[in-house]
Amino acid sequence: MTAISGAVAATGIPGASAGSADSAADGASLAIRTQAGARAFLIRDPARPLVATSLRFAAGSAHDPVGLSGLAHVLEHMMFCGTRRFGRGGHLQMIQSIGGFANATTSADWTRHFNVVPADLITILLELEAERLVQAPEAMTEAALDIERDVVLSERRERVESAPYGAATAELLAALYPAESPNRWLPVGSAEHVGRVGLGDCLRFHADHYVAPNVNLAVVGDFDPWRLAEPVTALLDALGEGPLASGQAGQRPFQATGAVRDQLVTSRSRIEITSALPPKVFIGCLLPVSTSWDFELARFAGLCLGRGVSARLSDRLIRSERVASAVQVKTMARAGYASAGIIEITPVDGMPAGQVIDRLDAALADSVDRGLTEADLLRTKAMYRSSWLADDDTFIGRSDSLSLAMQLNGSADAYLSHDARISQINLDQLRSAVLGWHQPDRRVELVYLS
Amino acid sequence: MTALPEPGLSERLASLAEISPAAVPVTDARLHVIRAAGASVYAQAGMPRPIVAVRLYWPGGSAMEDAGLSGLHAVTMQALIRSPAPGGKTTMAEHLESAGVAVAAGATDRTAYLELRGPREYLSNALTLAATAVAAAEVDEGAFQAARKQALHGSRRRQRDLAMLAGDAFRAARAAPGNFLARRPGGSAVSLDGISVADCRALAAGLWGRRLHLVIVGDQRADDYLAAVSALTSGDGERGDGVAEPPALCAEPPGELRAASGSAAHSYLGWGTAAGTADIADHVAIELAAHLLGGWSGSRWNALFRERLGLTYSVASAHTSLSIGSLSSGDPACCLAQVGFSVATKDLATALDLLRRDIEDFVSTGPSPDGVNAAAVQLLRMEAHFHDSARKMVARVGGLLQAGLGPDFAERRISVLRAIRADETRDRMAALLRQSTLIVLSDAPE
Repeated sequence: MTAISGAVAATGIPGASAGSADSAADGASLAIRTQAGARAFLIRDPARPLVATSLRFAAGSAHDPVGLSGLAHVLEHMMFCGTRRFGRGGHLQMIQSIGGFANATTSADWTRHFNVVPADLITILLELEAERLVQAPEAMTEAALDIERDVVLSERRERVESAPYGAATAELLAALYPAESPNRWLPVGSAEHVGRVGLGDCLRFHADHYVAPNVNLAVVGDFDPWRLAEPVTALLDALGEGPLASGQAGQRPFQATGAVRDQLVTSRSRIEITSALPPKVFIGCLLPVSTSWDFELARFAGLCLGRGVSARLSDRLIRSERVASAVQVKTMARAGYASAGIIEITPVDGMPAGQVIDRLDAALADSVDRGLTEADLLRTKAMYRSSWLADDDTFIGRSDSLSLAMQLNGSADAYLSHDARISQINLDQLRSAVLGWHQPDRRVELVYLS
Repeated sequence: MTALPEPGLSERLASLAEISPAAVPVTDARLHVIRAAGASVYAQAGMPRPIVAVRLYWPGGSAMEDAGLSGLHAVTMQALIRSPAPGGKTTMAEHLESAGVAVAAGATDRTAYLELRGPREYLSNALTLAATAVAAAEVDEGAFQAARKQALHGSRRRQRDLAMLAGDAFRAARAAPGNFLARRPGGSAVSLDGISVADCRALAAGLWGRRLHLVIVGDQRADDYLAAVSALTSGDGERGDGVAEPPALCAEPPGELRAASGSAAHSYLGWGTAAGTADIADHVAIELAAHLLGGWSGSRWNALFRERLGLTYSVASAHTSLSIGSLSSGDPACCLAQVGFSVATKDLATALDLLRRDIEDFVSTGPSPDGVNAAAVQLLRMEAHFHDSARKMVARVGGLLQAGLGPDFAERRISVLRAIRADETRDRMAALLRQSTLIVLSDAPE
């Protein structure tokens, strides 16, 4: 039995005003849970004549079998192989020809298929998506896989092999995570493994992971949620129940916390790559798993250190000390083992990497050692809120954030209350989270030398 | 009365395929345009979230730079946001970011700009702060060094990106000798090396005398920004748009352009065309040609090189329209389009042979009339996507205005697409694409 529950203007989203108990009111929302365990959350926003959908499967590179890195990503491509109605690539072409946008991405823990279409075409989109979910495996042939393997290898060539510093992240992940962790590889996988993916592997992965208990769908835009409930339910019902009964689907991966995470990387190591590129320094460390509040704090600390021209590290290393010309701080969310944090620094000409790293450590140590002030906290909160509002301002950004919150927490509530929770962070918590980025004895340093 | 059954998916898809461009509903993109205190303000209100995106720009960019100082506007704008605001030690960026206002700065072919995005409640203060900093024109030595180094790093990094490298090589090859079109607004490694803090200070001091243009989109009212606009335009002196070099193309463009990819394993293949025309129908015809060749998943080259042969991951297309005034007034203008993709060098010969034949076929035979109509429908329907956030709207509107196309360009383009006549458009394409250039980046360019 499918459970449907609705609310009007109960979204808590800034700017959504309270309305009448009318399903067509701005902010009206609807939560759906099918008998097989698939979930959907629909929010009406009539501000623009568009609707965005984000269909997120708990099926990422962390679910790739050992020796077949890249399988989840190859399957993401194979999902566009065709349907009974359309040949290869035809589904995507149909959506684009009606003015829509469609794509999919694979990360460590998820594969998400997303669309944005003119609002009057949303029911057509949902029907096409339901057809694709059911019929794509029928179109998965050896010939289709041969082409898709080549396309994926081309993608790998563009993004990893020929992109400047494209191999850096792969090198860092391989050095940060233990041998048994699937977080060691990028979602695009290794060229050797992708070349080895067989049709049976794709079909098995699809049957195991593209199933109702693994999926969350968020729909945002100009529509009446109650009118859309039927086609959304039909889309979710198109998915099989999967092997949940045998305990395979939905299983949480190993999650390292606290002291256990500290034991994953026990020393400081350095990798040096000589290349024709300008010198660059990458510092990799492990952060809390993405399902935890501690991860949100780590991400918040990352903003404090690296977001904006006046961010803590940019200001110190670029403006004050003039040892770097660019600083970037990024978090890589991982639900299993631990997430990763990467600080990327471009030294100014002639500045030795070792000296840059020393200055970075001094800046981080200062931050931890009471260098951070209430002003830093307020600045980071303001930047965070602004960034959240900017994401929330696009339908695709909002639907994507909602489906992620549903996947991580089982409901959209965490996203809807995110702004309020961030406002509660205090200075001690920020200092503690910055400490997580400053682990000079447990990290990987990757240095590009020219 | 008996309700008619809803048509099935097949019938609805078929009816969509038959729709004519004239029947496509398009979101109203009209802007509220005002002249306030010597500034041109293009505003769109009524967005649902309490966030506002703003682009402030002044005439400038490559079209107003000496070749030897290419990148000067971009570096100066970056240095300004990193310099201490007047009367204190805190920089403009620090002030803005502490209030949650994201700030970006740079230059295009024809403008120098600041972009601000943040909560509505800080809009007025943010604009006033920007006004004060630009009026003071204080460029700090440290800020200049940081800005220049960042630009140099970007320039070097660009040399490793095949698509960017191909784009730069194409523009350089199609521009008239010495014309600004040949230069990147961000500058080259050589020109950036020659820029001094004195150059930036001189430019910053003169910026104030130029006319300010402001694009503002989001949840705002005129009261939120008019006082700040006055502050931004106060002071003595005539304000004008300055003297920008008109875009000019070379008389005899190369049929084939070869350059080094910088990699043994990776190559790039592309096609480009350029036309010096102020007729908006020509600009639309070139845009349609680029779209049909590589602008979407059903494009000729995506279907051939990716879907059928698996030789590439993605085909990308881009087109740029530029004018020195407005296409409405028939000022000198040009349009450039480029489509391309990367391939493994081992596949280069195969892909190049296929590409040559397909370009010849496309240029001589042209697309089918149905293909032209379908592409026009698609581009019209895609208009709605430009409205998906204040940030996208500002990028779209600002991009068109900063290219000098005039505030009515978006509407006029839509009118041309709605009234498209396939045969006439095919004739235009045939004439415009006659001088196209094949672009090949490989390890052995000769």
